[in-house]
Amino acid sequence: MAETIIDGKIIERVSEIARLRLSEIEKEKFEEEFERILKKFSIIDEIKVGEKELYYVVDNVNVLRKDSESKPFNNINGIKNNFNKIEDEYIIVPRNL
Amino acid sequence: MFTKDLIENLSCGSLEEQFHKKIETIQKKDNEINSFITLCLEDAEKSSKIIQKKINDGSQGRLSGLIISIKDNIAVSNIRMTCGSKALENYIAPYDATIINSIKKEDGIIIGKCNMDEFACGSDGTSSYFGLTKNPRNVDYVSGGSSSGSAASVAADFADLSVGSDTGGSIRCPASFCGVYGLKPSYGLVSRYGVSDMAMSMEGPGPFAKDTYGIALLLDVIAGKDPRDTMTVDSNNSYLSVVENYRYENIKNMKIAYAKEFFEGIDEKIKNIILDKIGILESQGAKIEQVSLPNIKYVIPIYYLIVFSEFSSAMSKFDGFKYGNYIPGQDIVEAVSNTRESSMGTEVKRRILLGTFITMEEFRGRWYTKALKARSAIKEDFERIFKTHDLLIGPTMPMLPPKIGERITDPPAMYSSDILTASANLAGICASSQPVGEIKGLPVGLQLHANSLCESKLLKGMRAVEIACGGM
Amino acid sequence: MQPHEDKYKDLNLKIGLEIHVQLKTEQKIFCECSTDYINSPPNNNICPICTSQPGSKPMGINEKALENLLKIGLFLGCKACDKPLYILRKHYFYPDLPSNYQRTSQHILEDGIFMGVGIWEIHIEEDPGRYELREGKVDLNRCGIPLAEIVTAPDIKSPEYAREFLRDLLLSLDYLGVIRGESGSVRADVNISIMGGNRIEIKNVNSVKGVYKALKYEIVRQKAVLQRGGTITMETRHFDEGSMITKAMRKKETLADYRYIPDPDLVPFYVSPEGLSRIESILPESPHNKKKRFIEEYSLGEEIVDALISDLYLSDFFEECAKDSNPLEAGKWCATELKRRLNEKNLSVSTSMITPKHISDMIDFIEKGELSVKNAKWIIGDVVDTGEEIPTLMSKKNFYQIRSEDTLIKILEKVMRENPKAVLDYKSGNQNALHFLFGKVVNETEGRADPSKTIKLLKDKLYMEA
Repeated sequence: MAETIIDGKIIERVSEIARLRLSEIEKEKFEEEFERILKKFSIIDEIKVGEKELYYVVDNVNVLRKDSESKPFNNINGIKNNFNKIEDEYIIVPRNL
Repeated sequence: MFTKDLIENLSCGSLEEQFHKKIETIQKKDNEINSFITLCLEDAEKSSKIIQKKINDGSQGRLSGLIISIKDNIAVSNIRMTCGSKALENYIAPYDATIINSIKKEDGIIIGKCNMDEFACGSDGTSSYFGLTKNPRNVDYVSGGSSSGSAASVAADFADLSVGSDTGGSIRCPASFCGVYGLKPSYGLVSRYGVSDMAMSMEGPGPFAKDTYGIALLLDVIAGKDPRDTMTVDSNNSYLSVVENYRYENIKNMKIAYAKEFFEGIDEKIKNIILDKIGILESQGAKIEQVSLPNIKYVIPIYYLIVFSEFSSAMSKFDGFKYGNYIPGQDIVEAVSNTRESSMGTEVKRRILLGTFITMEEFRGRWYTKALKARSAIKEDFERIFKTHDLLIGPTMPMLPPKIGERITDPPAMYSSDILTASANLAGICASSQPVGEIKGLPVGLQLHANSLCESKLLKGMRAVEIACGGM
Repeated sequence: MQPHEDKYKDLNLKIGLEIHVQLKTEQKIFCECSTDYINSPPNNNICPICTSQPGSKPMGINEKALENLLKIGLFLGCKACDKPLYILRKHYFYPDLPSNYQRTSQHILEDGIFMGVGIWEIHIEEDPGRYELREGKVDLNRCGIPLAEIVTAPDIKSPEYAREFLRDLLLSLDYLGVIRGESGSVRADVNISIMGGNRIEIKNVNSVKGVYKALKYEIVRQKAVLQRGGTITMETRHFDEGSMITKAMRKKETLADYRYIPDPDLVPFYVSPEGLSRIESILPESPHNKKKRFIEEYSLGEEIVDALISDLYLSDFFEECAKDSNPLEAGKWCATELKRRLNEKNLSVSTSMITPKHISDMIDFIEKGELSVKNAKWIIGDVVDTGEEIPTLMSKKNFYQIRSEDTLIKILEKVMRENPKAVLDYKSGNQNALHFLFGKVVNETEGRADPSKTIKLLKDKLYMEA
């Protein structure tokens, strides 16, 4: 028997870290699917890889920006209008006591 | 050339007339096709009047009143941007994407925001919260995705041009299924600022059109360095002139590779159509050679492992506080978990969870880091080919568009449909799809690849294929 | 041995700090918003980038922020890393963090030292906004202010030294002109372990005083737990600025896996050798070189020099004083009494009213025998606040010493008359009686009697009486 990659406990932890509440049915469904997907993806173990991790496909480096006088954004109200709840210009979120 | 004629017609005819004809078509047919999530007719009409005046005194921009649809993961100021998700059902974008600025400046008329797979997670255009997009060529079939509405709106003549985005085939797949032209630019050629992220190291926006001319025209407008996207590079190329100056005999200088792996396990009829076109190009003087892409079978796992990782990171921002759908909870943890649970569809959740899992401390070495190392191997395969060849040719999709209701929903099988497109994104090179035939009324797309930032070569190839298929 | 170390010798204290300071720039680190977030109403100093609107991407790193960070690192004797450096995403959900990940660089500089405390590494990050826990209010104005994080080795051995270290470090950074000066612009995570317990991390300490209080509280708490047979397990605690105590964080909040990934939106950067040498050339003298020079040039003792160089404003101030006064005297006064007074009042020479001329004048009066050491100390305490001229103060407070022998003899006679027993004691050989009588003279003159003259006259007088 091949080793299991995912179990119910891990799904639970993943859902907590990802802040995604899951129903029991979803947990079971995802557990089964993830196991199959990752088993299939395990073929990458066959590739002979070097040590280099390829993060970027462009050669750009050192893209820095000169500090100069600030430029205020011209549609701050457009941002605020999307706030879920606003009071005295603050975004209102649950308290943390 | 179709788009060229269109521009000429606009410059002597009435923009308003054109505009209203389009609106009429949309109102008649889009209830069925569902290619738009949001229409911006009022703004569009206003700009058409302004542009008409410019045309009258000859001061119009390069897009001179062409009607353009925009995938709904690209920000257009003060217009709703949903990304095809309930999470952003009521989100009004407060700013313009850099490419939207450029389109407005060159006098394109933005007609509306296009339907798409939720957060671009899908290849068939069916996972949108706002309903699936049907294929204008045959409404019993899917349109392909994730830029489903972009391709469909051009195919149905709701728009002259469209902008979509491509992370693993999201422009080329629906272009192929709907029978239109689509181009995925090299990573860094077109600014991603304002394109909602799926997998940031692989995605970018790109044009849809009805011909190579339209593709080159729109690419000219949107390409170039942007201080708001550190990945971008300068573009001095005039892509349109590359297409305009292309001559039939130029094909004799083209060295085109085809990889046998691109033809393994694909629909036989598609294979024959593509091989037939390759034959025509060869007979016209192109040098055709077979090459090998030994790592292609690893493309799907490598691609998806990177997609999951980057996507789960990008999706963290959706907590409902600053924008988007919100479900309350007793404390911040509960509120955020409730919000995310109720705002996102199954495939989005699947990718977030998998991405979280494979980047966790204990598991990242086996999955995330491994995939990044393997990514180098794919890039090297292409570098090798482009040392000796200008283009790599093959089919865009391994199958015809599936019938609605018969589509595959099992994830591993679903992911495998990106097999021919995703490697271009892993390597950061440019690629295109264009219609080259039909099977029972369903379009077949031919895919070309060219090396990174070799869009001029790619466009020449597209033009050659366009001519080979009897295009004007 | 470190100052104050002996107080906690039995505990084998190991304290390390992770210090966050805001780097001084015009624009935020990844966008063009102003860094003056304090003078803007809530959520009015924001843009699509710093609020992480869907589709927005960070701009290239603000060059000035990086330059200021390099100045800090080189000043603290660090070496810059010479490999490509990535901006990482550190993932955690919090309402003040719009993308729910914080952009933070890899180590940019490593392996330095300041005031005998090792500097492990320095990197750059983006500041989150502000979340008022109790009211459930979020203000994103601060999002994207460039921060330097300075991580020390656990070399600090007392809460007192932690306080001194942090205070002097901040003064030095202020002197370099690389950090924002507003209150609340320093934040620290503090880690502490005592013998027999595990390492505890205290998050969210927002002032120098807070660092001291949090450590004091933790020592008491941990000692109590250990004494009663409990154990200290590794945990993260939260510091409550209001009650000045630390509290364990809820399990949900500590369950973290930051899942660091290089930010796919930002290309890596290198610190170039040319850039480094350019910064080095405009950097003030390093504390190490300054120490060497002070010892050689002014023949000062090591302890005095250490106290002077930990505060660069003070060391400049001292050098000004040394131009007009005996450097040994000037050094002593600056390093001890002046520094003590400034710390007590939470001032620096740059913010107080005192000038080098005050110290030189004061030393002059002392050397002429016109001012007592005791009154000189009082003067320093006064001048740091008032800036009053020394000669004016001398007259106003009547600090001129009594040196006239006639006057002194009159006072001596009075004192001896009033204390016949002491006089008798002295005559019978009790030396302490002399000190007693001297004390009486000092009291009688409010400290103004010239001490050496007084002693001499007193001895003569008593001898004559015998």
